[in-house]
Amino acid sequence: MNDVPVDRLMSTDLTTIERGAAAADAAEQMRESGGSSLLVLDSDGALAGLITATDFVALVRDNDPKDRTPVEAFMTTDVVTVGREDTVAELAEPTAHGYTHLPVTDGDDRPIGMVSTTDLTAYLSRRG
Amino acid sequence: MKHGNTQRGMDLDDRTRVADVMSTPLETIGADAPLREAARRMRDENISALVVTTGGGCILTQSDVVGAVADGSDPEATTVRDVMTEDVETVTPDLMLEEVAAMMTMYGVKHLPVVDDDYVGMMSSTDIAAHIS
Repeated sequence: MNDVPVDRLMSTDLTTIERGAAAADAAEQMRESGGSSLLVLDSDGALAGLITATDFVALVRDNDPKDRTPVEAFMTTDVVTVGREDTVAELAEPTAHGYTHLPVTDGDDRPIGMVSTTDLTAYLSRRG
Repeated sequence: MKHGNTQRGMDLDDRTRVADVMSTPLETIGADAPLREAARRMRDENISALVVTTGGGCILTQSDVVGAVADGSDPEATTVRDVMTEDVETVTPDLMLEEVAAMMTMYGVKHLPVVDDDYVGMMSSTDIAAHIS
């Protein structure tokens, strides 16, 4: 299965948020989506960062979630992206380094999908 | 499809089981601990879910923390008990990885505690992804 291209298993139902949004609103949006990541976009639609459930854990550790902490203050900017033609084998290195969500971007750095550990798990269960 | 006993045995031996990839040792937290303390443990020790020591099949996951932020909960006044996930499904160490993946997908969860008489570890979707990619 390692030569399967990313676009066979990526999620295309993306949840996005603006970088100035409040933490509590971002958390509410994540909860409603049922996912564990939000793509943070610049005004021109380019990828600015990523918010994962792990980032909210860090927020609760360090700050009061009730304050108006904006998304851009605690989002992950060290984002590893992949292309839709990349294969599952190429996800091994970032996954081993703890990246649980890899946005799939087109040539203009615009997000077209997301591959998460949940997507990989679902793929394994279909294959099994 | 037809399998001889020998062939079937070899197939089983070749396939990965929960015990091979689960996260150990078991990481636990008390139900009365403040949410802030749980977040500190999870963040500093890179743990995505803690087993709550209530004896009743409860865990605290990152998603529970997201819910607390969504509700604007005070991390000092809120306890683990207030936000934990109750009555979670569990798996056994000898279960095949494919079966665990199917359970996670079916139940829509990312964590399943591993139970072998007592709690022994945690299976997460990250453990599965790290194994297959």
